[in-house]
Amino acid sequence: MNFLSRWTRRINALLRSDDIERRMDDEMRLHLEMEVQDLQMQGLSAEQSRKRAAVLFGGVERFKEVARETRPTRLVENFSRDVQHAFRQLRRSRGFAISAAALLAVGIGGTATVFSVLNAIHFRPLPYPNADRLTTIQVRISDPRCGDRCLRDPDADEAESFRVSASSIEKLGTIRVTQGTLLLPSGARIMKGAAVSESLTELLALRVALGRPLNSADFRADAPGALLLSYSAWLSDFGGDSAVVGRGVTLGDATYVITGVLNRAAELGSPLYSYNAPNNAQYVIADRGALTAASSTSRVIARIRNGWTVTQLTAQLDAQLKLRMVRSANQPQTAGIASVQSMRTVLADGYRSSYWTLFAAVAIVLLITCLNVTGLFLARLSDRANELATRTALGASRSRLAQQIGTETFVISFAGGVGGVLLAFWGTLALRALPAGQLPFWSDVSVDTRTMLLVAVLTAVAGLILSLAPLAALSPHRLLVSLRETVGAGRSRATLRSTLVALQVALSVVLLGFAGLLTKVLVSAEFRDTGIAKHSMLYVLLDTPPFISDAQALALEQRISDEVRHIPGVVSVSVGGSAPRARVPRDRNAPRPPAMSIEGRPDALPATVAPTSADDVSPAHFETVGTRIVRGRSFTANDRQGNLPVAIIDEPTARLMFGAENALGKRVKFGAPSTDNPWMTIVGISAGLVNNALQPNASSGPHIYRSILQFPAAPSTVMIRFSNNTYSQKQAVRAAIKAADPLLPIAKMLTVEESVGLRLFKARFNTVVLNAFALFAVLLSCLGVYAAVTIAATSRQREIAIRVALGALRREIIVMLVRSATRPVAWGLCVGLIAAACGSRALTGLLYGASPTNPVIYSAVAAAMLLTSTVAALVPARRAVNADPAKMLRM
Amino acid sequence: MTPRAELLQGSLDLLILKSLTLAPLHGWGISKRIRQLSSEVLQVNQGSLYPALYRLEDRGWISAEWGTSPEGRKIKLYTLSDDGRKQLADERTQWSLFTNAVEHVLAAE
Repeated sequence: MNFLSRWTRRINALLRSDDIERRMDDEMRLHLEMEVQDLQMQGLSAEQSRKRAAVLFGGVERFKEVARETRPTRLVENFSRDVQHAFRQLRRSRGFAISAAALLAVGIGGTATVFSVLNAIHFRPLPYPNADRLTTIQVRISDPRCGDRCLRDPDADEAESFRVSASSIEKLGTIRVTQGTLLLPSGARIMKGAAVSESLTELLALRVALGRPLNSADFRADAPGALLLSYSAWLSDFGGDSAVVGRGVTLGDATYVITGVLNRAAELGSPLYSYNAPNNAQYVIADRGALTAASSTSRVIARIRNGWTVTQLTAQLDAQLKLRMVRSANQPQTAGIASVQSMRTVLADGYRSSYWTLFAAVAIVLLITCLNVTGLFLARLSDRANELATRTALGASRSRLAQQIGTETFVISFAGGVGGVLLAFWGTLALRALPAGQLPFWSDVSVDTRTMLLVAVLTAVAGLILSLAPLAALSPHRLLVSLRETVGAGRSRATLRSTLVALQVALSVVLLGFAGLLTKVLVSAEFRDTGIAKHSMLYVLLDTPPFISDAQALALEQRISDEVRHIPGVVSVSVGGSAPRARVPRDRNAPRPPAMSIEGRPDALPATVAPTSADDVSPAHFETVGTRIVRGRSFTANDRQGNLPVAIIDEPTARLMFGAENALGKRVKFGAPSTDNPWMTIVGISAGLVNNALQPNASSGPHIYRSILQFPAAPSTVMIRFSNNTYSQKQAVRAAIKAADPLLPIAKMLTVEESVGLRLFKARFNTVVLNAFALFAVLLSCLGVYAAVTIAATSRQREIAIRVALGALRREIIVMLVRSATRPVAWGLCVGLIAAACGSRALTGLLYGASPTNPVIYSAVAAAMLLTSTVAALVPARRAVNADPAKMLRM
Repeated sequence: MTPRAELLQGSLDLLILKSLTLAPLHGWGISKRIRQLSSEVLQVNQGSLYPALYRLEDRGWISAEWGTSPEGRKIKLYTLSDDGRKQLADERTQWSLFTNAVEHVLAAE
């Protein structure tokens, strides 16, 4: 009851706080009047008693302030008063407020944007029931060529045995990646798809936006084929027409009924799409014999029973694999080990570490921003030293002042947070628009509640960091001396400012160093000679049935070449195909057949050294793709059927096959020496190709080229070289190929820039983002140096003016001022370089094998930092010195 | 001039409560009464009386009411509540405990 009444009183007091303030005033005034009366009665004069009463009371304002402090509702009251006060203060220095909030907004917005990427791939739950227990199962094969990294999908037999025997598996489903040509009104189109088992539809919760999902009847062996279109395929190839449901389609040589359209969510980061066939499975069909079609492998997805672990599942699968090996007994050494990975790992592996690095980088940027804004606050505080000291003298407690300044910093950081959210919305929008191609989860990047929560935390932390330094500067001693305008306070505040500058410089050096390393790697990749032209080229991938007659192949090659060559701007065309590779026998345990033989040597070469199949290309191939012929000659129109069979190999292959010997003129054939494949004379050696410019040392495998005129093959690629300033005309090329063969499906069409772009996207993205961060950080540090020198120059205005008036050299004063700034910069540089060297190991994932400690980069970074900060210091120093000393002294 | 003593920390509350035992008083009255009762030895720093009054009011040991003085002025009268009486007794015990202890220490040879 007592408690209740007390709180009613408190709330009442809060609501009528103005009233209470007035009454307090009344009460104290009355007290003074009574005291005056009393004193007068004791015989003092009116004047004397008034003075005496005031002395006895001891300062009305002071005790009002103390009384306010003792009021229980003061927190709320003070807060609203502080917010008003803060707004007044900030409105008075609008420039400061806006720039501080804007800097914070950029820091917070950048952090939130990078986090949204990390969030999409790392934190957001996968859209499947019990997704945390979903795993994929593969088999690791012991092959000396790939060490631990050779994984294969289990075959149907193995998958079935896992399902039956591993007690830790709750449910197991399979996906077979399929591909087929779909006949559409707009022409034939190759589509990639997935044939799924019935249990998989439940594991991945394949829901539909239209029509009906697959049901158990669809999986019976005698059921008519059921097909679900992906949402994007439905939009792009069926024009989003809802009448497609129920329509029959021909896929390869079978007919299917479209039963529905998958919903959009099924497309985002789903293992159907992101694993091996990223983002482009365009349909899903019911696999009517998934577990019975022996010898075909499929991706296996299993949900672990609640309470079991991945390790336990792996052990059970290993035991099962061993058992099978013993039973089959023919080739026991290649049994393999089970490799179980959580779904999250499979989908996001290889991306997480780099985003964590970026996130760390952007967090550093945010920290620099906070330090910078703290410096700005300190500068402002030194402007307001008198106000604060006066208020202390009037009885404001230190904590009261701290609250007030704290409120100002929180108002600023709140504005920064709001700006940050807006920037993050815009930033994620911009990110989604990037041609990220096949990066998983990219389309999922957005600002969600988790991101908002992070922004709230960041805003609070930023507010706290911002308040720290002003509070430190608010010690009672400092406030007192600041009233007296002594050097002491100025100096201790200057030390704080220098520390802030040094910290900013150190952090910027770390970022700049990392950005430098990444830039070096990317630039060397961009300029690396990959053996192929880097512009004005277009690749077209065709889906030609592989087994057509030689005559048909030759005619098709001719027609495509002719049609494409007539497009304006086309310089040369090359049509390529590859003869069906020697089929690797179904039995994985059988020894591989030899790849090639060299005339005069008894032993054939294995597939590790020699190619197993040739690239059959038009005579204009090397000219079209821009690959140099290092020695010998290119193909000519004379290299056709009936003439001497010739071949061209690339340099690495020549080294592999012939070592130091000259390969030109040697004769080689596919398979063992005894086979009746024709001998081919090597007439040229071409430059080696680099598959991935980021990893120049990774082998792209042995290559041998033959003339398509001599060894006709079904055309599967068309490469078109345009004159330098012609825009690659995809539409015209599409039309030309349709003219050559109306039923020929185009699987893919990419300019060489797009193809390189997809490969380098991650590296480019990381580098650009890190560079942007580093530039922003350096800019902030320079701003910090600039502000520090400006403050130093302003506080020593009179001294400088006197010195100049007495004839000091302006240069000396400039040097003095700049030196005061370069000392913290030098400290920052030292600390930053050490930190960068220590922390650079975190970057190894982004450097593609380049060394993380590059002395050249680090010295360049140090030089750049020193130079920019000196310039930042010079500007205000010169301004201070060039001011008219007479005017300064008169102020 | 009469000798004056500085108030000991925390004794102001006790004095205020004690001064209100007889009748409700306003702020100045309280300060005057403390001076009178202590024969002008205890000088309450008059300003510091008010924060103490507000604190006691918030704790519920005294209650305040606006009334009119005999001269017809609006004044705020403080009354000791039941809780306040209990508190006064408690503090009184504490105080004598304290002073006795100090006396003992000082009396020791």
